[in-house]
Amino acid sequence: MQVYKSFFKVLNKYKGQMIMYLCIFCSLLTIFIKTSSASNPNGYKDKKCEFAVFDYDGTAASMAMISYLSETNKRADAGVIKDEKISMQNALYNREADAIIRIPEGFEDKLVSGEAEGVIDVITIPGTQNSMLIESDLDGFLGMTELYLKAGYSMEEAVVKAETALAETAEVSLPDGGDVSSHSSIYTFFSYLGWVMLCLMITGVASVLQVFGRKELKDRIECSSYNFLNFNKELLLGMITTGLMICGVFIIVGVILLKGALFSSEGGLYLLNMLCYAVVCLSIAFLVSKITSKQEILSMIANVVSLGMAFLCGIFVPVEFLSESVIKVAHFLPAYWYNQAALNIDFHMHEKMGSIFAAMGVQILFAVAIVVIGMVVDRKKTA
Amino acid sequence: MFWHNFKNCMKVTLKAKVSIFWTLLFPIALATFMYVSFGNIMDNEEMFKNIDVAVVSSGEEENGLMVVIDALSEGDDKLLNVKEMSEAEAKQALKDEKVTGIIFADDVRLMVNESSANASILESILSSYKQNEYAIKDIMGNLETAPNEADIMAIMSDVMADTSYYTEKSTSDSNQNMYNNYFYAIFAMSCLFAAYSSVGAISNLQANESGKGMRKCISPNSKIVFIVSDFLSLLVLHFLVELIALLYMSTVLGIEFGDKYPAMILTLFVGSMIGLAIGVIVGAIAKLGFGGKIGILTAIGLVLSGMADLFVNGVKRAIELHVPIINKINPAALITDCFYSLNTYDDYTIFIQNIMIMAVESVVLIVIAFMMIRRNKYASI
Repeated sequence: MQVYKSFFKVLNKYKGQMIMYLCIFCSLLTIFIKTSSASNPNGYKDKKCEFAVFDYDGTAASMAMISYLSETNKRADAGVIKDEKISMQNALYNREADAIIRIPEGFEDKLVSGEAEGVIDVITIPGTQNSMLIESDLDGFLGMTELYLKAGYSMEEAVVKAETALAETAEVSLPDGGDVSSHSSIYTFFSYLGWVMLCLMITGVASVLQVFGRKELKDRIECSSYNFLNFNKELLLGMITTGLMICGVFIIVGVILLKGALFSSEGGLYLLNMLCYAVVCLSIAFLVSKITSKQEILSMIANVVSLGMAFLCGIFVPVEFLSESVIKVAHFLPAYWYNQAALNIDFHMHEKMGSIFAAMGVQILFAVAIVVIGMVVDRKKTA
Repeated sequence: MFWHNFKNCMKVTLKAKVSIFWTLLFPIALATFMYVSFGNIMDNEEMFKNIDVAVVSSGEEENGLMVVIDALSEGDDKLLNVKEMSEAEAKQALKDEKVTGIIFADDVRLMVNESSANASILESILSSYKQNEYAIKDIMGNLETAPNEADIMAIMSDVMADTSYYTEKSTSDSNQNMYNNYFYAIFAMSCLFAAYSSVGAISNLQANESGKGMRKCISPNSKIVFIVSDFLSLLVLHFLVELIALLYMSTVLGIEFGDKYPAMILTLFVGSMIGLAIGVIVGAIAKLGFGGKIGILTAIGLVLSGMADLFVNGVKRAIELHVPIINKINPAALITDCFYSLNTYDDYTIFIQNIMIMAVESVVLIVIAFMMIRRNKYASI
């Protein structure tokens, strides 16, 4: 087992880089899981927009409107936003407020005399959905108040009546099966794995294979008495062991981050999918090691290939945001199938069992194809 | 001697390829991936488009809601795309995500897949129908005399008046796409990675690190000539690299950076300068091996640009709200802030301030590095 042992001696040299990727992965995931678990609505919720308000009128009408809007939407932290252009620009750009409402002096008088059209300034990014929502709430309240004012009620009565009328809401239900828009954190974990696993395999395994492929080293090994078959067998064994070790590290990280969510039938499927993807990553590492002979080029390839697949296959950016043509191209990338399987496990585990296993099968086929290409490249080079 | 060294330093860097990859090809590849995958999110996700909705109605009785829905689905700026369906068809369409929601017209009820802004708009249409219905009944019921035709008409016309009480204003004509932050951060990363070149050049000056360093040390030339000519040659090179990246992103990808190109180019020039200066100071640490220096630079580059929104949007803003001083020191944040302020504000105050800070930082770093390198003597190598 000389080759097997030296495989790990060489691998040991690259553990620094591998640990770096692992740390980036863990810290990113911790951020994502923390932020996504904060907003996990069960059932339908009316979407709330954040607004800031500057009330220069200070009358019953303006205060009633603000209190109504604060109930239906969320009032942004007033301390941060000031009635100055730069402050408003920052807040709108960073989406700390979807709209900033400025109520001018004399607003109530105009509302009573029926001349209130267009008096309130709404500063926002024109055309966004959130700005429409807050504007329609504003119009709804004032329209209703004006209706009651015209019917002869006083301002105090009209705002109370308007609030009662506006409390009438349409019933909203979700179909059976509930909300299908937010991902579970176990999905987030395995989805991001599609990026970091490839990075790790190329920086680790491909670097080692490259060393064994160096001309002088190869020549020396070939003219030694060491059995050629055993040499290859031990290299393969080394690759498999490394793959399993990396998977093992991810399982440990997963258990720590996800707190037991892995121990379920769902978790089992995710793990199986991960193993399939590990085979793909090993095959890519094999191919890459045959293409290049320089170490620094490896880390370039590792980053470009893994980030490219992560962006195009729906790992960093959800599939529904990608354009049709990108998705078509992504069908030719193994990470797409890995992510599809993970998506189906997350949303429709029982209905789509067939397509989950099909996606895993496609990954294995990709792995075989990539290995064959690697062998052809190798043959061409040595011939 | 100056020009000789200037020329050769450029040649060496170009031939080594590594730093050109990390400062030019990698940022371009990253920008392309980002552009392809979320260049259109703002259009898809945030901008309003008309909503596909299924309507289930028995059609037996006169229904005021159908009148409202018809009114909303006509004309050029229509709000809804309505398809009338049976209940089963509608549920299938909802499941296949062909429609945002189902309106049950008979009992004024809505079914949606998820909580979203579009779902809220649908909900508000139905709710406002119910609210008007309630208000009309309420006002009619409280009239002292029985309502005559004229009263009813007056109330109905008030309901239908549909007054808009607000004037919508925008604070800026510029690009409000917050995903631009990522592209700004790519520039910051690329500028900081210029440090790979200068750390290489500095190691070629130190006798304990390279053969070239030994030769240069025994040459009668002053160290300051070497440092200045190396630095300027790399500055020209990386400035060109950044210009190519800017040209690529703005013309090939079509990302809107605004129209203040001279100021953006100045940002990239000063950005390359600070990136190189960081490499110079790390390179001047005599006791560290070359590999260790590269490791430190990678960490510095990634952490600083990560704090300027390279990985997750919103980090920079969070720092701005809690520890604003960090954003005034972090060169990556200063670079992205230059782009942001050029795109958003009309005046140049913040921009000039950022440029000044970066210029001062790079001069200070280079002066310190020069102090560290000059008169280095080696007992034995």
